[in-house]
Amino acid sequence: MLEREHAGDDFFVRTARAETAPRHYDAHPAEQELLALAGGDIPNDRRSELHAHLATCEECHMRWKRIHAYLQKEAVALDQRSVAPSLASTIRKRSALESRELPWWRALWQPRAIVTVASAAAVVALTLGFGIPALQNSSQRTAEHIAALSSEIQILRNQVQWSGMISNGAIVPRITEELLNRYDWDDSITYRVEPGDTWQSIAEAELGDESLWPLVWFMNRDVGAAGDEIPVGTDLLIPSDVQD
Amino acid sequence: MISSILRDERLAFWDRLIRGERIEQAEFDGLISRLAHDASDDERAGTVLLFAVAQYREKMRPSSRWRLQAALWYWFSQTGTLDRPARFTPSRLRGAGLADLAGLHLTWPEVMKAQGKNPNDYSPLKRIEKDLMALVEEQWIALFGKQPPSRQQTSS
Repeated sequence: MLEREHAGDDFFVRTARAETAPRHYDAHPAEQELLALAGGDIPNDRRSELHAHLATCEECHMRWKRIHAYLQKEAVALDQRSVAPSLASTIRKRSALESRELPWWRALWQPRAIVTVASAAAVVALTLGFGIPALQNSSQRTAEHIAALSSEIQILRNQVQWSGMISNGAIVPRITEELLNRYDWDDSITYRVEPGDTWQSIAEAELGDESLWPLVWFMNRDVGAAGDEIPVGTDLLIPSDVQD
Repeated sequence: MISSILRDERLAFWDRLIRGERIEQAEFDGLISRLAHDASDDERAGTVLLFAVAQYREKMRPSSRWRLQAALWYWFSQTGTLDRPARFTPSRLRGAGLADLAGLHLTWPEVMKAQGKNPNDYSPLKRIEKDLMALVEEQWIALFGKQPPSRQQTSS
């Protein structure tokens, strides 16, 4: 229950009504001026003069309300149109897509599968090409070949494991929302690659966190695969600091 | 014709006060000198109340000025034909001018909510109306040499 509301016979309300009583005007503000007023792009003195007119000219007051309603509708529509997916959500979608089961003929062309198959083929080739003849030689040569084989297999295993880092989700889940929010992923700056740079070193130097390297690579994935050497002189996009 | 021009000038001042802007006393000089001797009571009331509000604003601490702005929002929202958006939210009053308030017919709790205050607290409005009424009477007598005619109607 409201304690008290004015019934219209109050001095203050009555005076306000008398001051704003409708009157006839010979001239009215142009549409452009009303639009400028709605946009706040008008000197204060003129703004108050226009409000004085709008408050007492019923016709212009209706125009003003229509312009306001239209601009608000447009602002809402613009907001809805300009909502671009964030980099983080793009990565999540990409990660989800990559984790889906693929047909075997397409799965064969996935980088991880290629490395796996290649490593298996290499093992077989090395075994057939070098391993069997080695057995026919001295025990010393056999031992050397076995050591070489082990080394090759280890390198290939490492490559298989490393190539899966992006898509198998081993690293991406470590990147938290808090970490992402430190940077403006839509406002990027340019970084020119120097000799010896790696994705990790760039993430460490520019973002202060080595673990963000997959995102830096993702922003610049056109440059090449995550495992490739980054060409010196390439301009990379780096997210800017939110506090800049 | 002159009264319409003077009213437009007063309304421009009201718009500035509604937005919380300061008005120098010297800016009012033209209004007083041009106010006709046979001006209607409504014109006189509009002029005297405008002076009183501007003067009262200067007396208030900056942290208390929201009360005056709330009262102005409330009084001037009662003007015009009722016309408010279906989804009206009090937060939209921020930066509102005279023409934005016209037709909204706000309740005092809505105004208080827009100011981020306790909606059911009517004391700021009561206090301002009491103080302003005293200022209006004082200035009316100083300008026109008699009690304001609305005194009997506004007494409660």
